[in-house]
Amino acid sequence: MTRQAEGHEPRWAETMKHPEVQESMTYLLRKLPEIQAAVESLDQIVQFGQQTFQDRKSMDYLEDQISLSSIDQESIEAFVKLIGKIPVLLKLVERIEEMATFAESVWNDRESLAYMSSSISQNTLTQKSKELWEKADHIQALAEQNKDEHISIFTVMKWMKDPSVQKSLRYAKATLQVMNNK
Amino acid sequence: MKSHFRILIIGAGSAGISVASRLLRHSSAFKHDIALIDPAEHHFYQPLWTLVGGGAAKKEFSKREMESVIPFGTHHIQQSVIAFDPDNNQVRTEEGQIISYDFLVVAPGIEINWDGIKGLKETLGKNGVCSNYSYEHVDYTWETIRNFKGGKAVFTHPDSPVKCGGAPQKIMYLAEEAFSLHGVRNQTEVTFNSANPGIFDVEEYKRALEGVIDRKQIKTNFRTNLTEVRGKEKEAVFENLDTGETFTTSFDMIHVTPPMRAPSFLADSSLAGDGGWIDVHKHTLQHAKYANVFGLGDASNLPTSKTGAAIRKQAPVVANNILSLLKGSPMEAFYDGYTSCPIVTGYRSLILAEFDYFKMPKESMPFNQAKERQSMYHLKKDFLPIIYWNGMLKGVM
Repeated sequence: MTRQAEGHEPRWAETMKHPEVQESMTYLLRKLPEIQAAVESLDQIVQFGQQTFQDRKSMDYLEDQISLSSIDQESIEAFVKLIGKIPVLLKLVERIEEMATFAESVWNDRESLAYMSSSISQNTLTQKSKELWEKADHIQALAEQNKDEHISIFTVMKWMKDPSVQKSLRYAKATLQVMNNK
Repeated sequence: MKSHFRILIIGAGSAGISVASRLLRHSSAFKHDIALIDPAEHHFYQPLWTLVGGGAAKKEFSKREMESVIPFGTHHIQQSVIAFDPDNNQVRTEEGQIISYDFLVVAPGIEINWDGIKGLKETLGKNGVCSNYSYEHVDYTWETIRNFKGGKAVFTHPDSPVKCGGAPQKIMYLAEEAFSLHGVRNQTEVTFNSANPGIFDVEEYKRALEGVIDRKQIKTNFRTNLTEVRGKEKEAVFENLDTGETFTTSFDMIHVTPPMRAPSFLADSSLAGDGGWIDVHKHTLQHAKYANVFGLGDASNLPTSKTGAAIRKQAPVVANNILSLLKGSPMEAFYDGYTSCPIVTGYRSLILAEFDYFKMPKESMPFNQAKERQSMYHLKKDFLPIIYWNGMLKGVM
């Protein structure tokens, strides 16, 4: 004799008594409208697929479109190869994106732009050219001041002994040597 | 106010902000689910302070409003954390707020212990006693160097880990050159009193720096630690770390690098390991006991030099490993101990030291970086600040 026949409750009814089962049932009942909606939309997609496949005209149109496009065996092979390269491309794109983000951030950061501009104005080249301009002014003023002074050949010979003149002449000599060798 | 965050970050310094930015760049799902806890109102680019102290940069460029650097989509909780409860995934703030998290990133930085040297706090900023380690006093360093008329110039390195191990000597090289430019070098004795056994830990750069020390005729006393400053008397008391003996030396100017330590709220917590630093795995940066806790930056126990450059490499490791755990994948991001110290050796020269856990050079440039170079000086002075504000803090560099 079965336990049911002895007046016991069926096994499913016993299972239903478990609180966790009751909780799950309640949850499922509450979710039922959403589940129904999901099943309905899935059904609609399946129906659409079936009808499209059965619609001869639509299928012919699709076939024509594909045959008219430039997609061929080579394109498919390239597409497969491209998929293989996607991880490398992604890294590249990420680097470009990072650089673009950085550049954009600098461009919009007034304090950084001000800092860069002050750095540029302090750098060696700018300083050197400033010094040269200052010297040029001084030289001009001195030349104007001594405009009546007579420069003799002996003065020029004296200059020849000056270390800076000697240095310039050495450079001139080296330049001539290099030019002649070429 | 929201009291639970997917990612909770302690400290809105370079480490905390970099991690937040990187996570947000990875996925917008983190938007408004990341919080940075930090009581500070301002964020500082501290590497510039060496140049500020040397008169080569303005300190104002090193300071920004905290709100201007907090990444969009991140909450800034402007409070101090006073206790961790990692068993319940919670932290408690000074204002009594309990904030819970899924993942915790601990990056509160390093704490300067001004009281660690007797008499320092009372005399700092006067009597020729200067230090580049505070925004408030960094100008006084340049004032002292600029007005120096000759005599004894002393520079110190403490017996504790410090932020950027090269910084205590950088300011000395700049000062030495400034003394030469101002025509007082011949009347000046420059001394470096360091608790370390040598000028640098990495052999290749050590050799180069010993050359700099020789050229600049700087006197060195290694294994000596500053214990007291008597500002009015212009005297400094040092301890010989090998013999335990103390000696007193007079000075006309002294640049003090103060001792530093782990923040007390971290050191007293169950997250701390030896020395009070957060106990993390040296490669994954995950906490040794709590899988959802990560640590990086100066407050971590990572056996490498504590620098911003190290953080630049640690931040992506933390961000990527958190993402892996969220996806249920194994952690693959790996930190090799990379750190970098741009050692300024003069107003137009710099040795760019880069090395790893094994103290082996790990150089980025195609030339010998142990050589003093003007180009590397300009990299530090003109480009690294821009890269910091617009690259590192944005999570892209």
